[in-house]
Amino acid sequence: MTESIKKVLIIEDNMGDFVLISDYLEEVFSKLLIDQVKTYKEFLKKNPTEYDVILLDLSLPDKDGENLVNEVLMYSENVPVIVLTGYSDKGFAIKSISLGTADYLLKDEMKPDILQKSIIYAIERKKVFNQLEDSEKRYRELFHLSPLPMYVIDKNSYKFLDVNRTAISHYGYTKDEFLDMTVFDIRPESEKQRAMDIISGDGEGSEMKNPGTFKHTKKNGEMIDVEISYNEIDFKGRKALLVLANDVTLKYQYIDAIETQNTKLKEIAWIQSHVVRAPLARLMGLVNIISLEGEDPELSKVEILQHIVNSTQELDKIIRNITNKTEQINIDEIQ
Amino acid sequence: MKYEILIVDDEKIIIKLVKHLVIKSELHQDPKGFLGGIEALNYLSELEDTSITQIILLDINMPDFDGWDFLDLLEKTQIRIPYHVIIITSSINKSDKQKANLYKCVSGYLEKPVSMENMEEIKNLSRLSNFFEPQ
Repeated sequence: MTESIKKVLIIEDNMGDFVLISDYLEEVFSKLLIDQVKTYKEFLKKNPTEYDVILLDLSLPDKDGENLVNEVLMYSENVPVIVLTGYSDKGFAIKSISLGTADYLLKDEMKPDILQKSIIYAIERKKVFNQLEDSEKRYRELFHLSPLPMYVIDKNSYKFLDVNRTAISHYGYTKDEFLDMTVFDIRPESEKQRAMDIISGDGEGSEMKNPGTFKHTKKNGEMIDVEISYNEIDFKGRKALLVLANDVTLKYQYIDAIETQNTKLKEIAWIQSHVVRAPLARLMGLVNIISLEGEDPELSKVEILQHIVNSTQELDKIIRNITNKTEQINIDEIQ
Repeated sequence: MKYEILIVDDEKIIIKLVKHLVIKSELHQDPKGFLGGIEALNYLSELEDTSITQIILLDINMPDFDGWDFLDLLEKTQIRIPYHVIIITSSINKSDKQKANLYKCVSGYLEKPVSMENMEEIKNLSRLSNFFEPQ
């Protein structure tokens, strides 16, 4: 572990203190590079990420106290910062931990082994912390880069707490607009009660829930069908729902079109067997009669011929009607 | 045994055609035609001689009151006259044939166009064998 510590930055204007700390450091870490800056201004010229650890004196000529700690922490990013101070500043040194420093050391009590332990702890803690931050970042990316619209809503106020990029581009609202809206703002009047009932439902258990398909409205007024799945989560201390809204409008349009098509096909099948067949059967019957011997006075050849003509015209009309119905079936019209 | 033949069809020309075949095939000399089921039912209910069996050649696709309506009403009203129904339809749907089988009084099912062969088929129907014994 100690081998990984190669470079330390000491921010200290007091030469005596600096020499003392350097001695201690060299005693416990071999081949250590020690840099010193005496002011905050000088510190800003350094690249903090080159160092394994930064030791910070709380009173510099150009900056001190909380201000100094905050600025140094911000500038040093992921490098651990250990505060060095005298007795008089002990109270603030402790407070600096809550600001984000790794540790504090009282100069009067400092010994090589205490310094060594503090540095090693600080570096290792920071490592674990960085890993956590990385994994959190990965999860955030999973949310923000998801190809499906996702958002987080507050269970109590129904407000949007976060939305991913796909939701922004899909619904047409900007992130700021979303964060100013509630879930009811993306729903038609008729669906608001249903949404409220589900969101304010008991919500126990961590498993994913699929309450079904809902109607949402985009910013441009377009109505879409979305399949909702959600999880109860804790979002920055609030009870929240992480929601995934999969747009199935097109799927539904296709199902609708197929159902209409089925109805039309059934109609056509019925026409084929009942309506087309009637004049055809009549025609065939009439032709049969003609081929029979002898003439029935009730059924003259002239009359039969007239009926044959009528039947053929009827058949023609029916077939045109079917063609017309077939042309109405056009599933390709869905864009 | 005595019997009469009734033809129920909404098309005059079909009635004429079937009549022609019934006579020519010597199935019956004087078949009666009805342009709708209601007329045929009225005729049946007014018959006084209850010993003559009525053989009804019934079309299915008729406007307003179709062959199924006729069969339903015929089974509901308990007519004391013996009767048989033979369906003559232009439908070639299996489902129509299956539906016809559900009626007890349906003794035969013929698909249009009607021909002389159909007349022979009627004569050979097992349930009607009593009427068409070789003379």
